[in-house]
Amino acid sequence: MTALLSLRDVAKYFEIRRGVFERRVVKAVDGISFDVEEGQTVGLVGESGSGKSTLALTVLRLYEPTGGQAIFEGVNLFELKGRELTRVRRKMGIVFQDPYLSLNPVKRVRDIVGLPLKVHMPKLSFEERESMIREMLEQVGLKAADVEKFPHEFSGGQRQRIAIARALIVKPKFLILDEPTSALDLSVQAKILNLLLDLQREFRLTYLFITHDMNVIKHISDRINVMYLGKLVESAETEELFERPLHPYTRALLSSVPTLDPRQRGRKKMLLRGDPPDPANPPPGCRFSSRCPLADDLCRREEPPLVQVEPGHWVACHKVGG
Amino acid sequence: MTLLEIRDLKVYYYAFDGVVKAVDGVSLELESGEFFGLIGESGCGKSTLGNAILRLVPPPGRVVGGSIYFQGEDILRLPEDRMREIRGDRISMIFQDPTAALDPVYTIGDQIVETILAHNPEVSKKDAEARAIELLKLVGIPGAEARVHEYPHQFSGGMRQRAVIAIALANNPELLIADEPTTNLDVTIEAQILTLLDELRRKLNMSILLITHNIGIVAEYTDRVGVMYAGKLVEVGRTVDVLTDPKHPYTQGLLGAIPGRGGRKGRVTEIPGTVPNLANPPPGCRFHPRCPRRFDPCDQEEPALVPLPGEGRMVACHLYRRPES
Repeated sequence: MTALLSLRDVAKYFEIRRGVFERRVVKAVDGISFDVEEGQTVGLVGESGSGKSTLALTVLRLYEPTGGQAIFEGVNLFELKGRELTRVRRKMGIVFQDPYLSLNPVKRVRDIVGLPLKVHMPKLSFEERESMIREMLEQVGLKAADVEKFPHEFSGGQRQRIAIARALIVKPKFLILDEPTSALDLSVQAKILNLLLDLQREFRLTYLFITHDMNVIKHISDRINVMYLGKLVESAETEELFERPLHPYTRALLSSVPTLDPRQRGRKKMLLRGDPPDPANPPPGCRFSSRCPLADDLCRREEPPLVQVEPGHWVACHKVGG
Repeated sequence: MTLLEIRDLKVYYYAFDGVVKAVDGVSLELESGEFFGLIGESGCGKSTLGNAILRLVPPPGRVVGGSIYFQGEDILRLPEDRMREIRGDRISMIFQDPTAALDPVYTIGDQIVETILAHNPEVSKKDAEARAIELLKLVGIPGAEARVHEYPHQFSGGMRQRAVIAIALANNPELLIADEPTTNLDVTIEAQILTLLDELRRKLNMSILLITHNIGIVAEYTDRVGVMYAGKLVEVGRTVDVLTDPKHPYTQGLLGAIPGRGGRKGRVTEIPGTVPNLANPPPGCRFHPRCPRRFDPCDQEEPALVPLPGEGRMVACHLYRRPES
């Protein structure tokens, strides 16, 4: 298998100014490396503030990267400029969490879904464009006649279908899905997940799926990457990660997910103490050390490297493997 | 012992384009000391039901029928000044967004003290402050003596929800209504908060009515569960019974729609169609247009909530009227 996208040491720092003199740097994404194999769905999980959405936007160059490389089909996205970047971007799309914010309320569905065509295929005639838009709408489970409507005429799930149609209209190979079902009810979520699975098969898409929902990620991903405060703490195939989580944070995360079977609730949960620290002021050493039940002096002093403990299973923890 | 008894409650919103029957004839009993989960998707009326118990339904909503007996007294018929004595004292409520529930210009301590003094004017300010610190310790806020003097913005999201819980518990309520209390929180923090609520319930012997869309937390924490659909209670029973052997086709559909249970990348079971418009709900059973098991009476006759074998098990579905099922 070949990697469609390889991230190497990707970093995105934000500078926060307070007053005239104080400057602080938030390392929102701090040296992330992983591969996304062609045709796979790679999950990215982590809690709020872990940097997962920042990573997505940085890969798409919607944020300017601070460092690292993102190799997409052999080309480093971080070195591209102008027209070259636009050309590669056509192969990549993104769907955001909130379909109420991500669709322009004063535009008709025709203009929303057709916009990427105007950017990437400006020579199309109106009729060609119109027929592509109508066909795409049907492919995501809407009606061709919906081109005339405005976003407010649709429910949350239907809006998310519009957002998916917009992302797929230029036939990308790679789609970043940033919490695409988190704002939806369970029965609506089921429909969108099924749609995404169908579209993946039909168009041979590669997904980077970002979520905090462990049930969703387990269902849809081939591999899972776990982030904590800007760092990758664990990466493994889905079954391996759920059966043998190694990093104490991953174990706490999985243990915090409520069981769906009330007969199992007597099991011992691994509850974390405290809250995630301020990303602008992370603890020294391992960033998880302030909440980790296993942390010792080494953890509070030295940052653990990401090491491969089993084929395909990577962990960044002083207490595991090595 | 029954703490709260809701009988045939109806709450309608008189909107510009019609009457929305958000809660339409719901009957429910809560026992003393129990953890009850009320589950359903957006717009099913679960939050409206919670608000109605405290008589806090915002206009254009109105309670148009039914009664709510709290310790034997119909609180819907109490004068407003009596209701204010109950609200925040014997029944409290916490909401989804702790930031919105806290006043940004007062310290956490001031807000707890205010709640205590509003209901116990005879208590001295000093005693109330001591109680505030005790409450912050109770909800697991480290360094309570110092943090009682801090403002909400100095607290993290999880700590704010703990502070809100401390305020809600200030007067030892018999019933705590928790409306999506952890929906804005990360899953590791959610587990902390719900474990805390469960411990406090046992320690203080209060009942909790947890309103949520998250089946997982219902499975994990509650004793009994009620399932709402389109303004109706469609199923109720012990959590273990309802979630392991759901009877109502809607409950079955909802549980089937949870991803990650079957094979990876397989299809998630869908519930066909969408929720009805409550200004104009379908006749008969409100779920019938989406129901895979509908038959003759479903589109004409509304099913009543009827008992099934099993402790306190009730379901509103014509399937269970027939002798053979």
